[in-house]
Amino acid sequence: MEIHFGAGEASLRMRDVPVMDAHDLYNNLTNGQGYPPLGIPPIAPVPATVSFDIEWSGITDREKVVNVMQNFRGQFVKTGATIDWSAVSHFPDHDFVFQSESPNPDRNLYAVIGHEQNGVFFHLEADDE
Amino acid sequence: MRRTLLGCLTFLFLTSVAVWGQGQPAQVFPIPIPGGDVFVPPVVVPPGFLINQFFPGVGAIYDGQDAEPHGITNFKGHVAMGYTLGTASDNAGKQYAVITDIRVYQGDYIGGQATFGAGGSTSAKSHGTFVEI
Repeated sequence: MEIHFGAGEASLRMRDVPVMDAHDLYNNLTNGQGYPPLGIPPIAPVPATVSFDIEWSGITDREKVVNVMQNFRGQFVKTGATIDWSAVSHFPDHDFVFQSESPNPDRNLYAVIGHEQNGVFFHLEADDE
Repeated sequence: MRRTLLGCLTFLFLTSVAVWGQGQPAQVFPIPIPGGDVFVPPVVVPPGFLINQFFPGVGAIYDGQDAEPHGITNFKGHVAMGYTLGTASDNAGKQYAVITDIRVYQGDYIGGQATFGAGGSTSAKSHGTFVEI
């Protein structure tokens, strides 16, 4: 990931990352067991690859957060964001190809870049950039 | 701190493909944050299922702007996340509505590494980049 926190810019580009396609959320969370109460059948995962380009830019707000309950602190900037991603799932008899629409800043719902520390690092001196 | 959500549309992104890993397999495995959200019906996951993840944002279905965006604990570094809404098409020309929740974590962390065999582990420090889609 390329990140320029002060400028509120970051980008991530990855190609053909091997993953497993669980078909649906229930099978993902139940390791392919389906979810009988809702009639979701068990489906075995299949190998897949994903590629994506993500861009964050355009600061709209800045905030310093110290959240004791959730045990983290950091500096955060709200930004715009776009994503372009695709996936290819390899079934025994065919490939399923999935391609997102062209990146569009108007499709952003909420985006944040931060520099934070949590867990055992929470109580250390803040490492503010 | 756990919080019950009655609905979380942002979670629908997981219905097709879930990614959780690094470009290279981690030798020191990251540890999930201890808290998260618990989903109950009629949400899209088995009821009572704890997700070790909060959902920062403004609105009834989110955990607030000051919620933890990270999914890994004992981490010090950068986080970038975003929710987007849009469409996608498959190779048969079928169109889908898609909501994404993407998070990238890059920095130093203390996780667990396999030692002693038989499932034993010890804490270890490492550096890495992790992506959740």
